[in-house]
Amino acid sequence: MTRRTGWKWLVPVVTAAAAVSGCAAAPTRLDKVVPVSVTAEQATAVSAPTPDTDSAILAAARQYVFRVRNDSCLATGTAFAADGKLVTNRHVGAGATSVDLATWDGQDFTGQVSVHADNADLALLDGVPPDYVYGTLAATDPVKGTPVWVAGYPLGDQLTVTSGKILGQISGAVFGLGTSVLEISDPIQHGNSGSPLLNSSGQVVGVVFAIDTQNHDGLAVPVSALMSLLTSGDGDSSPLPCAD
Amino acid sequence: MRSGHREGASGLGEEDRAALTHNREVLSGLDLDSDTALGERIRETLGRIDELLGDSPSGPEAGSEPEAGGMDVLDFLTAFREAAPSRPPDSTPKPVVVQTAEPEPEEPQPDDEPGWKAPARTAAWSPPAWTPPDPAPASRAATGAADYWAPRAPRPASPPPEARPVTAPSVPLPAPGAASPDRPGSRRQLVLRLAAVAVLVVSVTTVSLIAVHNNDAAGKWRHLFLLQKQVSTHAAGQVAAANSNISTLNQEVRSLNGQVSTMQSQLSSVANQKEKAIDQTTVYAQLLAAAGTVAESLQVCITSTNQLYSDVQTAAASGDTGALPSLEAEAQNVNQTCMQAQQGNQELQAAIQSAS
Repeated sequence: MTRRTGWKWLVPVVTAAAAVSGCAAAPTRLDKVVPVSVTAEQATAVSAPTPDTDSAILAAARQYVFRVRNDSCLATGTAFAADGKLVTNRHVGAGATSVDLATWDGQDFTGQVSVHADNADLALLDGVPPDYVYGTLAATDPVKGTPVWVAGYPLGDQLTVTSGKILGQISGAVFGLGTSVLEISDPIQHGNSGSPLLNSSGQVVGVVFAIDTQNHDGLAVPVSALMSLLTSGDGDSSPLPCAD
Repeated sequence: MRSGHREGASGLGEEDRAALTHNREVLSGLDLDSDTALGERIRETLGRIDELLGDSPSGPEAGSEPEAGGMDVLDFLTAFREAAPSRPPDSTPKPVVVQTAEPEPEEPQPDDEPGWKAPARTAAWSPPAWTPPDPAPASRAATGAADYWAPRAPRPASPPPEARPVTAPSVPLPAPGAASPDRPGSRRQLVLRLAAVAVLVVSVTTVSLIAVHNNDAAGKWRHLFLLQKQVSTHAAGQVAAANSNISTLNQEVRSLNGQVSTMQSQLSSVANQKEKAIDQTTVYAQLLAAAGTVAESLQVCITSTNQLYSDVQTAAASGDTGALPSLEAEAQNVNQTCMQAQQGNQELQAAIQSAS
């Protein structure tokens, strides 16, 4: 026997001390408390309902698309506010120096025919509609296949939005026009003359003016021609005979 | 046993006699007051030494043949220890008190350190409730039999009688806890023990303080965690309630949107009817104006026709044939007027038909 056995009692004491200290060991930083996470179900934000494109375009069109009545020629059509002017077809304003306009909810106002375009079926009207905003013009003409919407008053009825796409862009010479013409698949009826052709962003990409009697495709003046008319203002303000 | 033992009294040499004499002196110098077995054995041994030396118990110088002569006192004590009851097996716990309390009797302390005592701290570390399993611990402790396992310094092979430390087997052994002689090795161990205990105490104290501090920190953490958990749970409940409210509101908004859309449709329909009515009014006005024109043309036609009829009758009554050319021209004008009125009437009829 040696006296080294007397040191054995240190082992359990040190072990116990280390265990006691280790059990209570914890970081002293109180500023890094782990947050209790909120479940995904609880944290899921409820998004507001978004209207579909047709409804959205219709709601926007109500602010700047108007019904046109030409008493002189007993005709109805469509006009819209863009770039500080009211735009319609030349044949809609033909035979009159002023036309009757109405909002979608029946508010009437009067517009004076200011300019007839020489090489396109476009006319500009002067008038101040109530509670209106101007439509936005697209920077370029739409390409083939672009989805487009037509907002107008077919047959002089309620404001309606129809959807389609760009079928192509052809020369307007066959229709007696000096500009190119957009072919669209949207269903067009009488009364849609002067309706704005809109893209998915609600921008004006053309002005509807006729129906191709051969294939029943819609025809529209591209926005480039409208911008040219709005920029130059060239044209004739004298009344034209009523269109056939 | 000592190697210098010889058989027979006649063979007792000078060396043996000197050893016996020395042993007798040593034993005679021991404290024989106690009635312990050691004292009895010592007295018995002294008697036998006297017999061997041929002297009376009072004459230690006489020699006689020893039976167990030549036995050294150390040998005797060793033999006595070996004859003592054995210690319990090592399986029993080794009490610190026995080890530290023993005076290390077989390791003679230098005379220059007479004041060394066993450290009292060792007694403080002894298990308080431990009792040695020996049936007579007190007597053994008193006789020194309890330190049977204590280290023993090797004894010289043939130490000269003069060099033997008389005080080496100094008995009686001190009681447990009594002062014991010191030596350099023991002091070093003592210092080491003191240092180790001091380090241990400091370590335990430090660790305890750290443990208390950590426990406090952990408590704060637990408190904050529970508090934050409550807050988060409450917030989660509020978020869920808000989501539910938002969902309800969204449903209401959808319902209101539907109602608004319906009302807008109704308004648009009413506005359309209004515009249609205006259109009809416009058409009717246009038709009325056209009808007035047609009626006026027809009135002219009728008037012209009546005038032509009157002129024809007058010419026929007078028999003036010279008036026939003028009547023919008048008739052509009346015919043209009536044709225009008829055409206007047809157009009016067509307009009315298309407007209806």
